[in-house]
Amino acid sequence: MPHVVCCFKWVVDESYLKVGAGKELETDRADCKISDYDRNAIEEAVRLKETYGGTVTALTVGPSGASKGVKDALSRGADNAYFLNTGSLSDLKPEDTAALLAQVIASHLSECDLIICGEGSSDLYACQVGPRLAEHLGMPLVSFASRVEIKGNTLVVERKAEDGMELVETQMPAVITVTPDINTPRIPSLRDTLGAAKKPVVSLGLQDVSFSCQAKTRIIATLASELRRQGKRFEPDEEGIKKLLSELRQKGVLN
Amino acid sequence: MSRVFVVAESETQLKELIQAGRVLAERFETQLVAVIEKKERLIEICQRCGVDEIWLLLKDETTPFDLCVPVLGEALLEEQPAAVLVSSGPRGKDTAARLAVRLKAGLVSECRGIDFDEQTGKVIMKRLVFGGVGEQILEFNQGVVMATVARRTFAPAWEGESRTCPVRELHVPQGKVRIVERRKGKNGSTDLKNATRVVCVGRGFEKEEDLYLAKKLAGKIGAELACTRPVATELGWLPEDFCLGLSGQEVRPELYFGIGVSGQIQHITGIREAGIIVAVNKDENAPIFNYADYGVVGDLYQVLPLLLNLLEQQT
Repeated sequence: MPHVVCCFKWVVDESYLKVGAGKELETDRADCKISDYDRNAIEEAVRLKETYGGTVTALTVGPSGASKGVKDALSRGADNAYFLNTGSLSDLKPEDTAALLAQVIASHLSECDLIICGEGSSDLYACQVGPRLAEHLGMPLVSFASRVEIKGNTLVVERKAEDGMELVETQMPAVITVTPDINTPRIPSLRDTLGAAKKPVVSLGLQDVSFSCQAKTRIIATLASELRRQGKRFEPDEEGIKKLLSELRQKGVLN
Repeated sequence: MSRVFVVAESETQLKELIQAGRVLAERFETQLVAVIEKKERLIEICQRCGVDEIWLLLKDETTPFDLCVPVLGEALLEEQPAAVLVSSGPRGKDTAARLAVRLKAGLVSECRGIDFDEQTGKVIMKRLVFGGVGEQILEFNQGVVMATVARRTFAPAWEGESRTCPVRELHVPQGKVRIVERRKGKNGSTDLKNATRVVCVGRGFEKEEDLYLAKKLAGKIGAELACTRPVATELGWLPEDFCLGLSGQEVRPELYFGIGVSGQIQHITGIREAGIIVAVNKDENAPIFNYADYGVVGDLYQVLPLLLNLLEQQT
C-alpha cells in the first residue's frame, strides 16, 4: 500500500494584494492560503489512498505562519504532516524550497512511494519545485499529470504535452506534479477541521537541515501589472449592441 | 568565452529562442549553440538562422524530452555555459528545472523580457507573479543565466541562406519514464493560440445546451471557441484544452468576447495580450469589466440573441 507524500506551499492570496504608491505590490498584510494547485496535489494523494489504501503525509517548508496551512492540509485528508519551519526566512526561491523539501524527504520520509506536488504555485507559478525535487532525489519525474493510476509498482499517468496529451508509465518511487483538472478538491467539514487537530505533526527547523541560501537571482521589484483598459459601457438593448458592433468595426476587428 | 545555449523541445519555439539567445550571445560577445532533436526541419532552421553550433539529441520516440537531462547536463557542466534558454512547453519546463539543479543555477520561469543593467552589466529578466496580478523584475547575481522563455516574447529569428556549422551528437538512453501513447489535442490547440478572434464562455451559462449561442456567435464572426477553467474542469462542458488562463492557454486574438465570464485574474492572464476585450455579464461588479475595453452589463440570454440578430441583418 503506497505511502504518498504531498507537498504544498503556504502562499499570499493574490486577491488580497494591495498596490502601493510606487506601484509596488504589498504582500505583508495579505491573507494566506494553501496554493491553489497544491490543493489538487493533496486531494489526489487522498484520492489515491481511498482507492489503494496506504498513508498520506503532507509536507511543507515555509515561515512560521505556514502552521495554519499544516492544519488546513490535515483537514483535507492527510494522515500526518511534516513542517520545516524556516522562521522569519520567507520568500524562498524555488531552488531553496526544492533543496529543503528534498532534505526532509531523504532524512524522514525516504520510504515513500510517491511524491505529489502541484504543477506550480499560485504565487510564483515557476513550475520548478517538482522537477528540481525529482532531480535532487534521483527519482523519475512525471509532470503536469491529469490522471494517475497505480498498477502494482507501476504508475500510469496521463499528462499534458506540448501539443495534446501523452500516456506515460514509470516505476515508483517517483515524483509527479498535477494539473488543476485532475480532481476537484474537497471542502473540509467542521468534523474534518476538528479531527485535524488530533493528527500528528513533526515540526523541524533550519537547525535540522544543512542549508545555505544560494541567492543566484535577486528580486529588484514586484510591480502591479497594468491590466486596466478603457472600460467603455454599452446598454444591453438593441441601440447599445448596435453601437458596440459599429465600434468594433471601426477598430477593424470585425467585418 | 562561455557560450550561450538554447534548448528547444520542438519546432514551435525554436526560432524565438534563437532570437532570444542571440540577444545574450551578442551582449556576451560569444557563440550561440542550439540543442535540438535530430530532425531535418529543426536542423535546417538552425542553419538558416545563423546558429554557430548544433547539438543533436538522439533519442527514440518513447523517451520523453526531459530524459536528455543526464546527458545534456554532463555536457553542459563540461562546457560551463554563460546562459541556457529553454522552450516553455511542459517538457521544456521540466528540462530547464532539472538542468538548473545540475548546473547549480537560478532559473527564471516564463521569462517575458531580457535586459541588462547598464552599470553592472547584469542580466535582468521580467516575469509574471500572483496569477498575473504582478510583474517581477529579477537580476542574476551569479552562476549560469537560465530561463524558460514565454511564447511570443521574442520575434522569430529570420531564416536566411543556409550555413553549415559544427554538429555534435548526444545519445539519450531510455530512462525510467516511457511514453506509451500520444494523443493530439482535442481542440487542435494550435488553432486557439493563433486565432484572430476568440469567443470565451464562462459560468454565466446555465446549461450545457445553451452553449449553442456562443458557438453561433463564434461561427458568425469567425472565432474559435474557448472557455474558463470551471466550465471545463467543474462542469465538463468543454475539453480542458479549451481553457484560457495561467495554467491553460495564453491567446493573443485581435478580438476577445467573454460571455458570462467573471474575470478571475488567472483567466485574465491568458488574454492580457488580446487586442480588444469585450465582456458580457449580468453582474456589473464582475471583475472582467475592469479589464475590458467594452462592457455590456446584461443578461447573456438577452444580449446574445440581440447580437446574433444584428450580425445576421448586417451581412
